[in-house]
Amino acid sequence: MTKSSIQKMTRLALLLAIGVVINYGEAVLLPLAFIAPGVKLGLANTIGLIVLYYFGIKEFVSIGFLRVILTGLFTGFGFNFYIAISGWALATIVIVIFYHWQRLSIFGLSMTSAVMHGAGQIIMVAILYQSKYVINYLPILFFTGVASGLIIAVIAREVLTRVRLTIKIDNYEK
Amino acid sequence: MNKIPLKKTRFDIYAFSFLMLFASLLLVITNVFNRPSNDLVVNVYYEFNIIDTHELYTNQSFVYHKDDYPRLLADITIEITNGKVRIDEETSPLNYCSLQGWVEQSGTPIICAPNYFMVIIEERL
Repeated sequence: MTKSSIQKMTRLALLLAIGVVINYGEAVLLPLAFIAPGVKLGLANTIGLIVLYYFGIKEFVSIGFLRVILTGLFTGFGFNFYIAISGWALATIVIVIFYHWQRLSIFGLSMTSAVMHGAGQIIMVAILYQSKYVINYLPILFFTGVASGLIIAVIAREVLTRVRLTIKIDNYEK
Repeated sequence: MNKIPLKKTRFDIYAFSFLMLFASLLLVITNVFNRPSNDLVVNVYYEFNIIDTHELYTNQSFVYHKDDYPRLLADITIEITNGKVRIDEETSPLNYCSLQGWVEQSGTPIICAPNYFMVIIEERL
């Protein structure tokens, strides 16, 4: 194993750990469910965007999947997990398509990802409960998804700008 | 490897406009075509099946016991008051469903995922 691959693996492991902690921390410290059910800022997605920016799509998919699995280890692999994995799957498919299309910036990617995450979750709930009226809730998740996606993109861009500066100063090979 | 631009592009504006337009359209479509009749009830789901149906216009509380529904983390109390429903007492790691408070819109679910429990206002079957 080369030095650069160890470096890459270490950084990805660190980002994964940060993502899991942010995910859990947000749920405890910043619950937004009183606004509407299922609504959350999704701060851990900033980590996903950072991984996508620095490492690429394969790493983005892997880290995202591992984050869902690791979160499942904490919260259990029950109903929570089905909802989480369906949201992640739909959002990831859309991100992969738009990433290769190369037209959207971090804002467009984050926005569509957040919206699709909500859509995936509500589709899973509608399937599991066989309730067509749950679909009526989709537009609310679309509007809140656009807002949270834009906020996450702003945070991720700020982090990336600062991290890039640090890398330049330290002459730290990417 | 592709680099994602950090500055917004015109395609972001298109994506934003499309999503807002689609969400608005979906709002209209669901309100017109997927709207339940005025005969609304509160359906209670456990493990993805309806276990109870309550009248929406009533003032009552209902308790679901862990002894009867083993996947509940503890007893759950739902409260219905004149067209509104909420989960009053529950046990879960983050208490999302009780934090959600009152719901009066049909189709908005109150989901207690760790308890495999959901309450929703729907059309009477």
